[in-house]
Amino acid sequence: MKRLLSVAVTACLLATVGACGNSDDSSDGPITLSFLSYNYGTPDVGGEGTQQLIDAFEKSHPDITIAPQGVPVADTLTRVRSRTAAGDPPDVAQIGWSKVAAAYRGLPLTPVQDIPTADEWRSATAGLSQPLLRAVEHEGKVAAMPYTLSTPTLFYNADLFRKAGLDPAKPPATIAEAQRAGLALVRIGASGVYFDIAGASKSDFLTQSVVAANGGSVATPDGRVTFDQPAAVEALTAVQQLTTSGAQPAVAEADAIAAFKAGKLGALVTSTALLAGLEEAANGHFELRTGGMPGFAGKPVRTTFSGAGLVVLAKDDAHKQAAWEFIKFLTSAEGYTIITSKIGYLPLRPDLVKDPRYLGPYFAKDPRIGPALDQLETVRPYTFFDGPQADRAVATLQDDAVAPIVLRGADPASTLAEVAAQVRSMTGR
Amino acid sequence: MGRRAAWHAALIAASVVLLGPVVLAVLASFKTPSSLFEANPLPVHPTLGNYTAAVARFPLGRLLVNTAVTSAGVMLAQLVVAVPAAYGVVRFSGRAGRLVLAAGSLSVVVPVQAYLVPQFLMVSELGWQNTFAGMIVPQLSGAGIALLLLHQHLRAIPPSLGEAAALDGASSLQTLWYVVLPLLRPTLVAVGILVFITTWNEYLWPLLSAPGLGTVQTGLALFGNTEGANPGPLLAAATLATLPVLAGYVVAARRVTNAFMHAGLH
Repeated sequence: MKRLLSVAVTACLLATVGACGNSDDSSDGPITLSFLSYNYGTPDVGGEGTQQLIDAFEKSHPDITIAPQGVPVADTLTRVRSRTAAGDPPDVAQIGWSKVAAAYRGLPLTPVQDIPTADEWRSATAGLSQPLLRAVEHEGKVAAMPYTLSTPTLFYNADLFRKAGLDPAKPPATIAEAQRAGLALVRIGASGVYFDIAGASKSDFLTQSVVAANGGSVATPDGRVTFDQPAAVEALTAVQQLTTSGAQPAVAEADAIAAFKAGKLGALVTSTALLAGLEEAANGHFELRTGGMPGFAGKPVRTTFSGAGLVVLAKDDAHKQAAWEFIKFLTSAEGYTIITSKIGYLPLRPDLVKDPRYLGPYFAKDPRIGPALDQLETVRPYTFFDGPQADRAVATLQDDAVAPIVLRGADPASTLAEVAAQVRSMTGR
Repeated sequence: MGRRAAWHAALIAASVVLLGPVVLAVLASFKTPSSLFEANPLPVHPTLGNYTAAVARFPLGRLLVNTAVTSAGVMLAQLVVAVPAAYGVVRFSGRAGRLVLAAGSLSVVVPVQAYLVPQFLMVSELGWQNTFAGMIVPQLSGAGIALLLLHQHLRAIPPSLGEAAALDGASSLQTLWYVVLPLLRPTLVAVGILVFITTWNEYLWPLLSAPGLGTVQTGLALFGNTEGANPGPLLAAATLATLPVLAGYVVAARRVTNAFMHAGLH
């Protein structure tokens, strides 16, 4: 028994030493950079576009090899945390913006802005949207680099608009106008309009945007819960009235997106990132047009953003530098040309839109991402709840308040008050 | 007769409720994108487009092979551990046997999440991440249920058979190999299929220990990352991913049912 025990202990020690040896990467010579991405490996344009980005980077940086790994979006943090706990974090990870607060708090990340020199940082980010860079700052610096971002966009079926007697050149600019358009669409047998606000995982930025458009907020910059305040209640009541009036179908977001793709839904307010997929479905079937997110009469539309940032978890300087080179490429003119034209996310370098070397030809042919791009000028920071349960708080807001109010007729004021109390007990604020 | 008819009607209704969504999903996998959300459940203009897209855009073959190797590995490993353990408990019953049974029961009761972290750290320390060893070996902790099922069936084998073999000069291992295992074959098949199906459907452990290898369950989850609903190819991929395990179950369905029916009756 003693002999067996000693063999086991020796084997474990050897394995540990072996594992330590593997983690000691040389700072000279070729570098392999591990990249965790929820777009990589997906069976759609996101997967193809990410592979194209990696191929282009490796071609221009033959000394750096990217080792990509796809991860289900809902499990990104779990995967990063478990790899970090095992002492083998990915060098670069794509983290959804709703989970970035948890990453700041619980992961040993190096703020991206701290890796290059100040001059190099200024030069690399000079062409990026400055309002956006300010909106993503954490403790005064960009810790997670904005990467695949989108803002809320109104997609509409111009053919159905014409059939319903609506002017396709004038898409609804307010929620009240959207309601009138929705009822006209329903009268011709279409499914009206749909605000993709009640989804569990991807719609929280639309909740924030709609509430902000009415002058409210979901939380204060320091994480205090405010979604039970009158402006938020009024905003969600307006979206609820879309459903109760019959202008909006009371269906889940996947069903609404599929109905839009099938040419049965008149208008869909959702992430810009869906543009490529919706274009593919509309091609040859109906005319797809876009507009800005409908807001509230007399109030400026203020949207926030969805999507993901890039965080650096590399342990040694050589890998940190390689990670910066990779991030610099992904967010370069070449990178955003691929990201926008292939995947459909916003080009965070607005100058590319007219540049014939980059996105000029793409936008000349298809200007439909324009309204979402315009919203970057007034973009607001994505708002985080506080504390280690911030991620769960977002799910609670979406599942226990927004979905019941918007889709199932729950009373907005009392539901938001009740859920706000729950979230306060979760976050302590 | 009326009561029997009512009972059959209830069973048919329950079957429809259970199988209905699966049948609808399979039918929908043959629909075109524009007809996917029509009320008619039948694919009016059936297409293989979703299957073509799923196979072309998704490494289904590689994921199926990874999942099959892992499931077969876990199945064999659990049987190799559970058969001698169950035989030992029955053959040499006593305090040690009761302890082994108690340990087996305990391993079934403790939720998998409780030992997920230590298992993950162990696999990382051994450098087994993204290897079949890392996927298979820790899942031996699930051998408790196989042990309990085999124990129940071994108890039903008359001890006189073993005694006769011993009189003929057979050792314990020879008795196990030549006398007990042939009698236990139906149960071994049933337990093996159960372990295989459970491992096939496992999501959390492959996600943590071997995301680089990937299995059909972690692969199908990537469809959730797509920008916008992509239900047609997802339904096609899910149908293809279910076929191998469904085929295995259909072949051994009666044995699986019998294994459960008889476990606990002795």
